[in-house]
Amino acid sequence: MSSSDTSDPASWARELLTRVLDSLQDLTEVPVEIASVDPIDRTAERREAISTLGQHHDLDTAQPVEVDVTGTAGTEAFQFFLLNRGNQAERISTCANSLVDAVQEALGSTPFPTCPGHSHPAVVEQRSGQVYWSCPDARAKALSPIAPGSL
Amino acid sequence: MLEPRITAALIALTMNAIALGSTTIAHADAPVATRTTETITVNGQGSSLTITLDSPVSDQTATQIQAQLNPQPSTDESSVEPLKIDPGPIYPVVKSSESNRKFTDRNGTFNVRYNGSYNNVNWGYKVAAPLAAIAAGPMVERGIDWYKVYTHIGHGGRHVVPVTYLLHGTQGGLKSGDQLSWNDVLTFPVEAGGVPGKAVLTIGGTFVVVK
Repeated sequence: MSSSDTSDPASWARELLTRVLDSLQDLTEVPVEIASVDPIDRTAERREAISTLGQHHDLDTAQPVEVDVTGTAGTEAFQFFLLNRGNQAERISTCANSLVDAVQEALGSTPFPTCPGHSHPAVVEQRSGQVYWSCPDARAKALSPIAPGSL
Repeated sequence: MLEPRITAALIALTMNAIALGSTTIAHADAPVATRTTETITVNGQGSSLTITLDSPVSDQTATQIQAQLNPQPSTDESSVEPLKIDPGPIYPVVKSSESNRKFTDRNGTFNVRYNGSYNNVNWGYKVAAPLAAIAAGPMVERGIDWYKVYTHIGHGGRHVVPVTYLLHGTQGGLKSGDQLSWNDVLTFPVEAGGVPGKAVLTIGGTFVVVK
Protein backbone atom coordinates (compact mmCIF):
# COMPACT_ATOMS: atom_id res chain seq x y z
CA MET A 1 0.00 0.00 0.00
CA SER A 2 1.57 3.30 -1.00
CA SER A 3 1.15 6.74 0.55
CA SER A 4 -0.66 7.77 -2.64
CA ASP A 5 -3.43 5.27 -1.88
CA THR A 6 -6.33 7.67 -1.44
CA SER A 7 -8.77 4.82 -0.71
CA ASP A 8 -7.12 4.30 2.66
CA PRO A 9 -6.65 7.58 4.57
CA ALA A 10 -4.46 5.75 7.09
CA SER A 11 -2.07 4.16 4.58
CA TRP A 12 0.72 6.60 5.47
CA ALA A 13 0.51 5.46 9.10
CA ARG A 14 0.48 1.77 8.20
CA GLU A 15 3.63 2.25 6.15
CA LEU A 16 5.39 4.00 9.02
CA LEU A 17 4.34 1.38 11.54
CA THR A 18 5.46 -1.48 9.32
CA ARG A 19 8.87 0.12 8.94
CA VAL A 20 9.23 0.71 12.67
CA LEU A 21 8.10 -2.80 13.63
CA ASP A 22 10.53 -4.33 11.12
CA SER A 23 13.37 -2.35 12.68
CA LEU A 24 12.53 -3.71 16.12
CA GLN A 25 12.82 -7.39 15.27
CA ASP A 26 16.30 -7.77 16.73
CA LEU A 27 15.73 -5.40 19.63
CA THR A 28 12.91 -7.04 21.52
CA GLU A 29 11.57 -10.44 22.39
CA VAL A 30 8.17 -8.98 23.12
CA PRO A 31 5.77 -9.64 20.25
CA VAL A 32 4.32 -6.30 19.19
CA GLU A 33 1.27 -6.32 16.96
CA ILE A 34 -0.83 -3.50 15.57
CA ALA A 35 -4.54 -4.21 15.90
CA SER A 36 -6.06 -1.13 14.28
CA VAL A 37 -5.11 2.11 12.58
CA ASP A 38 -8.16 4.33 12.24
CA PRO A 39 -8.45 7.94 11.09
CA ILE A 40 -10.17 10.17 13.66
CA ASP A 41 -11.54 13.69 13.51
CA ARG A 42 -11.22 15.46 16.86
CA THR A 43 -11.90 18.94 15.50
CA ALA A 44 -14.90 19.62 17.73
CA GLU A 45 -13.18 18.26 20.83
CA ARG A 46 -10.03 20.27 20.22
CA ARG A 47 -11.96 23.48 19.52
CA GLU A 48 -13.94 23.09 22.72
CA ALA A 49 -10.79 22.97 24.85
CA ILE A 50 -9.28 25.96 23.03
CA SER A 51 -12.52 27.89 23.49
CA THR A 52 -12.91 26.96 27.17
CA LEU A 53 -9.42 28.22 27.94
CA GLY A 54 -9.64 31.24 25.63
CA GLN A 55 -6.39 30.20 24.01
CA HIS A 56 -5.10 32.33 21.17
CA HIS A 57 -5.67 30.18 18.11
CA ASP A 58 -6.64 30.39 14.46
CA LEU A 59 -9.34 27.75 14.20
CA ASP A 60 -9.31 27.98 10.40
CA THR A 61 -5.75 26.72 10.14
CA ALA A 62 -5.72 23.38 8.32
CA GLN A 63 -4.68 20.57 10.66
CA PRO A 64 -2.86 17.31 9.88
CA VAL A 65 -4.77 14.07 9.60
CA GLU A 66 -4.77 12.06 12.82
CA VAL A 67 -5.00 8.30 13.32
CA ASP A 68 -5.79 6.24 16.40
CA VAL A 69 -3.43 3.25 16.70
CA THR A 70 -4.14 0.28 18.95
CA GLY A 71 -2.13 -2.86 19.46
CA THR A 72 -0.68 -5.39 21.84
CA ALA A 73 2.79 -5.90 23.30
CA GLY A 74 2.79 -9.44 24.59
CA THR A 75 -0.40 -9.63 26.61
CA GLU A 76 -0.61 -5.89 27.22
CA ALA A 77 -2.76 -3.54 25.14
CA PHE A 78 -1.57 -0.09 24.07
CA GLN A 79 -2.92 2.91 22.20
CA PHE A 80 -1.44 6.06 20.75
CA PHE A 81 -2.18 8.78 18.22
CA LEU A 82 -0.20 9.81 15.15
CA LEU A 83 -0.37 12.98 13.11
CA ASN A 84 0.50 13.08 9.41
CA ARG A 85 2.94 15.98 9.52
CA GLY A 86 6.60 16.84 9.03
CA ASN A 87 9.15 15.49 6.59
CA GLN A 88 9.69 11.76 6.20
CA ALA A 89 12.46 11.57 8.79
CA GLU A 90 10.32 13.45 11.30
CA ARG A 91 7.31 11.25 10.58
CA ILE A 92 9.27 8.06 11.09
CA SER A 93 10.96 9.39 14.19
CA THR A 94 7.64 10.52 15.67
CA CYS A 95 6.02 7.17 14.84
CA ALA A 96 8.87 5.25 16.51
CA ASN A 97 8.86 7.45 19.60
CA SER A 98 5.07 7.28 19.94
CA LEU A 99 5.10 3.49 19.63
CA VAL A 100 7.87 3.18 22.20
CA ASP A 101 6.12 5.49 24.67
CA ALA A 102 2.89 3.53 24.40
CA VAL A 103 4.49 0.09 24.55
CA GLN A 104 6.80 1.04 27.40
CA GLU A 105 3.83 2.32 29.36
CA ALA A 106 2.02 -0.96 28.72
CA LEU A 107 5.00 -3.13 29.66
CA GLY A 108 5.96 -1.27 32.81
CA SER A 109 9.55 -1.76 33.90
CA THR A 110 10.63 -4.02 31.03
CA PRO A 111 12.96 -1.93 28.85
CA PHE A 112 11.57 -1.50 25.35
CA PRO A 113 13.25 -1.80 22.95
CA THR A 114 16.25 -3.63 24.38
CA CYS A 115 19.61 -1.90 24.33
CA PRO A 116 22.06 -4.84 24.12
CA GLY A 117 24.18 -5.17 27.23
CA HIS A 118 22.36 -2.44 29.11
CA SER A 119 19.39 -2.21 31.43
CA HIS A 120 18.05 0.95 29.78
CA PRO A 121 16.01 0.90 26.57
CA ALA A 122 17.35 1.87 23.16
CA VAL A 123 16.23 5.26 21.88
CA VAL A 124 15.30 6.78 18.54
CA GLU A 125 17.98 8.92 16.94
CA GLN A 126 17.41 11.17 13.93
CA ARG A 127 20.62 12.36 12.36
CA SER A 128 21.61 13.53 8.87
CA GLY A 129 18.43 12.27 7.30
CA GLN A 130 18.72 8.85 8.91
CA VAL A 131 16.53 7.48 11.67
CA TYR A 132 17.76 4.58 13.77
CA TRP A 133 17.73 2.92 17.18
CA SER A 134 20.74 3.74 19.29
CA CYS A 135 22.14 3.36 22.77
CA PRO A 136 21.43 6.60 24.66
CA ASP A 137 25.11 6.62 25.66
CA ALA A 138 26.33 6.29 22.06
CA ARG A 139 23.78 8.06 19.93
CA ALA A 140 25.94 8.38 16.85
CA LYS A 141 26.03 4.60 16.38
CA ALA A 142 23.06 2.76 14.92
CA LEU A 143 21.91 -0.43 16.64
CA SER A 144 19.25 -0.96 14.02
CA PRO A 145 18.20 1.30 11.16
CA ILE A 146 14.58 2.42 10.97
CA ALA A 147 14.95 4.50 7.86
CA PRO A 148 18.41 3.97 6.37
CA GLY A 149 19.89 6.28 3.81
CA SER A 150 18.90 9.76 2.87
CA LEU A 151 15.19 10.50 3.30
CA MET B 1 13.13 43.54 38.33
CA LEU B 2 11.59 40.24 39.34
CA GLU B 3 9.68 41.40 42.35
CA PRO B 4 6.94 43.40 40.57
CA ARG B 5 6.31 40.46 38.25
CA ILE B 6 5.95 38.02 41.11
CA THR B 7 3.65 40.44 42.87
CA ALA B 8 1.60 40.73 39.72
CA ALA B 9 1.47 36.98 39.48
CA LEU B 10 0.18 36.55 42.99
CA ILE B 11 -2.41 39.28 42.47
CA ALA B 12 -3.50 37.59 39.31
CA LEU B 13 -3.77 34.26 41.11
CA THR B 14 -5.83 35.68 43.92
CA MET B 15 -8.16 37.16 41.32
CA ASN B 16 -8.88 33.80 39.75
CA ALA B 17 -12.56 33.54 39.11
CA ILE B 18 -14.90 31.33 41.01
CA ALA B 19 -18.58 31.19 40.24
CA LEU B 20 -21.77 29.39 41.03
CA GLY B 21 -24.04 28.30 38.22
CA SER B 22 -27.57 27.07 37.73
CA THR B 23 -28.66 28.92 40.83
CA THR B 24 -32.29 28.46 41.85
CA ILE B 25 -34.40 29.65 44.71
CA ALA B 26 -36.43 26.94 46.42
CA HIS B 27 -39.48 28.25 48.22
CA ALA B 28 -42.29 25.79 47.75
CA ASP B 29 -42.71 24.67 51.31
CA ALA B 30 -39.73 26.32 52.89
CA PRO B 31 -40.44 29.15 55.29
CA VAL B 32 -37.28 30.93 54.15
CA ALA B 33 -36.12 31.03 50.55
CA THR B 34 -32.93 29.00 50.03
CA ARG B 35 -30.71 29.59 47.04
CA THR B 36 -29.25 26.39 45.63
CA THR B 37 -26.85 25.49 42.88
CA GLU B 38 -25.71 22.42 40.98
CA THR B 39 -22.71 23.87 39.17
CA ILE B 40 -19.52 25.27 40.62
CA THR B 41 -16.88 26.84 38.41
CA VAL B 42 -13.33 27.55 39.50
CA ASN B 43 -11.11 29.21 36.89
CA GLY B 44 -7.36 29.54 37.27
CA GLN B 45 -4.74 31.27 35.15
CA GLY B 46 -4.36 28.19 33.01
CA SER B 47 -7.36 26.08 33.81
CA SER B 48 -11.11 25.93 33.95
CA LEU B 49 -12.84 23.65 36.45
CA THR B 50 -16.54 22.90 36.29
CA ILE B 51 -18.12 20.70 38.95
CA THR B 52 -21.61 19.52 38.16
CA LEU B 53 -23.36 17.98 41.14
CA ASP B 54 -26.06 15.35 40.82
CA SER B 55 -28.35 17.35 43.09
CA PRO B 56 -28.38 20.96 44.24
CA VAL B 57 -26.61 22.21 47.34
CA SER B 58 -27.17 25.46 49.15
CA ASP B 59 -25.12 28.46 48.14
CA GLN B 60 -23.54 28.29 51.57
CA THR B 61 -22.36 24.74 50.93
CA ALA B 62 -21.16 25.71 47.47
CA THR B 63 -19.19 28.59 48.93
CA GLN B 64 -17.61 26.21 51.43
CA ILE B 65 -16.62 23.88 48.59
CA GLN B 66 -15.08 26.79 46.71
CA ALA B 67 -13.16 27.81 49.81
CA GLN B 68 -11.88 24.26 50.10
CA LEU B 69 -10.63 24.49 46.51
CA ASN B 70 -8.88 27.78 47.15
CA PRO B 71 -5.80 26.86 49.16
CA GLN B 72 -3.36 29.33 50.62
CA PRO B 73 -0.28 29.73 48.42
CA SER B 74 2.43 27.33 49.49
CA THR B 75 6.05 28.32 49.78
CA ASP B 76 6.56 26.43 46.55
CA GLU B 77 4.44 28.99 44.76
CA SER B 78 7.16 31.60 44.87
CA SER B 79 8.21 30.19 41.53
CA VAL B 80 4.78 30.70 40.04
CA GLU B 81 4.79 32.61 36.81
CA PRO B 82 1.51 33.52 35.12
CA LEU B 83 0.97 32.25 31.62
CA LYS B 84 0.77 35.62 29.93
CA ILE B 85 2.82 37.93 32.13
CA ASP B 86 6.46 37.90 31.17
CA PRO B 87 8.98 40.36 29.83
CA GLY B 88 9.75 40.45 26.13
CA PRO B 89 7.49 38.10 24.21
CA ILE B 90 3.88 37.73 25.22
CA TYR B 91 4.43 34.24 26.57
CA PRO B 92 6.89 32.87 29.13
CA VAL B 93 10.23 31.72 27.80
CA VAL B 94 11.40 28.27 28.89
CA LYS B 95 15.14 27.87 28.41
CA SER B 96 16.99 24.61 28.01
CA SER B 97 19.32 25.73 30.78
CA GLU B 98 16.44 25.54 33.27
CA SER B 99 15.98 22.31 35.14
CA ASN B 100 12.21 22.60 35.31
CA ARG B 101 9.65 25.36 34.85
CA LYS B 102 6.55 25.28 37.00
CA PHE B 103 3.17 26.89 36.32
CA THR B 104 0.76 26.68 39.23
CA ASP B 105 -2.79 27.85 39.63
CA ARG B 106 -5.48 26.86 42.09
CA ASN B 107 -6.43 23.73 40.15
CA GLY B 108 -2.98 22.21 39.67
CA THR B 109 0.64 22.48 38.61
CA PHE B 110 2.17 22.06 35.16
CA ASN B 111 5.91 21.35 34.92
CA VAL B 112 7.94 21.53 31.75
CA ARG B 113 11.57 21.07 30.82
CA TYR B 114 12.97 21.90 27.38
CA ASN B 115 15.72 19.53 26.22
CA GLY B 116 17.33 21.61 23.50
CA SER B 117 19.81 18.90 22.55
CA TYR B 118 17.00 16.40 21.97
CA ASN B 119 14.49 18.83 20.46
CA ASN B 120 11.78 17.89 22.93
CA VAL B 121 10.00 18.90 26.10
CA ASN B 122 9.21 16.70 29.08
CA TRP B 123 6.02 17.76 30.80
CA GLY B 124 4.03 16.83 33.87
CA TYR B 125 0.77 17.87 35.48
CA LYS B 126 -0.63 17.22 38.91
CA VAL B 127 -4.08 18.15 40.19
CA ALA B 128 -4.01 20.40 43.27
CA ALA B 129 -4.40 18.54 46.56
CA PRO B 130 -7.65 20.28 47.65
CA LEU B 131 -9.28 19.34 44.36
CA ALA B 132 -7.91 15.81 44.49
CA ALA B 133 -9.38 15.52 47.98
CA ILE B 134 -12.96 15.68 46.67
CA ALA B 135 -12.34 13.09 43.92
CA ALA B 136 -14.50 10.01 44.29
CA GLY B 137 -12.99 7.83 41.60
CA PRO B 138 -10.36 7.56 38.87
CA MET B 139 -9.46 10.40 36.55
CA VAL B 140 -9.79 10.16 32.77
CA GLU B 141 -7.22 12.16 30.85
CA ARG B 142 -8.37 12.98 27.31
CA GLY B 143 -4.75 13.14 26.10
CA ILE B 144 -2.68 16.29 25.78
CA ASP B 145 -2.78 18.26 22.53
CA TRP B 146 0.26 20.27 21.45
CA TYR B 147 0.29 23.13 18.96
CA LYS B 148 3.19 24.95 17.37
CA VAL B 149 1.66 28.39 16.91
CA TYR B 150 -1.64 27.22 15.39
CA THR B 151 -0.66 23.85 13.96
CA HIS B 152 -1.51 20.65 15.80
CA ILE B 153 1.77 18.79 16.32
CA GLY B 154 0.98 16.10 18.88
CA HIS B 155 -1.71 14.24 20.77
CA GLY B 156 -0.84 12.24 23.85
CA GLY B 157 -2.55 9.06 24.91
CA ARG B 158 -5.75 8.71 26.90
CA HIS B 159 -5.21 7.57 30.46
CA VAL B 160 -7.37 6.38 33.32
CA VAL B 161 -5.42 6.96 36.52
CA PRO B 162 -5.86 7.97 40.15
CA VAL B 163 -6.48 11.71 40.46
CA THR B 164 -3.25 12.08 42.42
CA TYR B 165 -1.24 10.64 39.51
CA LEU B 166 1.49 12.78 37.98
CA LEU B 167 0.47 12.94 34.34
CA HIS B 168 3.55 13.18 32.17
CA GLY B 169 4.92 12.81 28.69
CA THR B 170 7.29 14.05 26.02
CA GLN B 171 6.65 16.13 22.92
CA GLY B 172 9.33 16.08 20.26
CA GLY B 173 10.00 17.75 16.93
CA LEU B 174 10.77 21.13 18.48
CA LYS B 175 13.39 23.77 17.81
CA SER B 176 14.60 26.79 19.66
CA GLY B 177 12.21 29.70 19.28
CA ASP B 178 9.08 27.59 18.87
CA GLN B 179 5.91 28.92 20.47
CA LEU B 180 4.05 25.98 21.99
CA SER B 181 0.49 25.77 23.22
CA TRP B 182 -0.97 22.79 24.97
CA ASN B 183 -4.26 21.73 26.51
CA ASP B 184 -5.82 18.69 28.07
CA VAL B 185 -9.10 17.73 29.70
CA LEU B 186 -9.32 15.78 32.96
CA THR B 187 -12.61 14.30 34.12
CA PHE B 188 -13.37 12.57 37.40
CA PRO B 189 -16.23 11.88 39.79
CA VAL B 190 -16.39 13.99 42.91
CA GLU B 191 -18.23 14.14 46.18
CA ALA B 192 -18.55 17.70 47.35
CA GLY B 193 -20.65 18.88 50.25
CA GLY B 194 -21.92 15.34 50.62
CA VAL B 195 -23.27 15.33 47.09
CA PRO B 196 -21.84 13.27 44.23
CA GLY B 197 -21.06 14.89 40.92
CA LYS B 198 -18.58 15.21 38.09
CA ALA B 199 -15.58 17.50 37.66
CA VAL B 200 -14.30 18.57 34.25
CA LEU B 201 -10.93 20.28 34.47
CA THR B 202 -9.63 21.85 31.27
CA ILE B 203 -5.98 22.84 31.51
CA GLY B 204 -3.60 24.54 29.13
CA GLY B 205 -0.98 27.16 28.47
CA THR B 206 1.46 28.70 26.02
CA PHE B 207 5.20 29.23 26.23
CA VAL B 208 8.25 29.68 24.02
CA VAL B 209 11.23 27.32 24.12
CA VAL B 210 14.73 28.73 23.72
CA LYS B 211 18.10 26.98 23.75
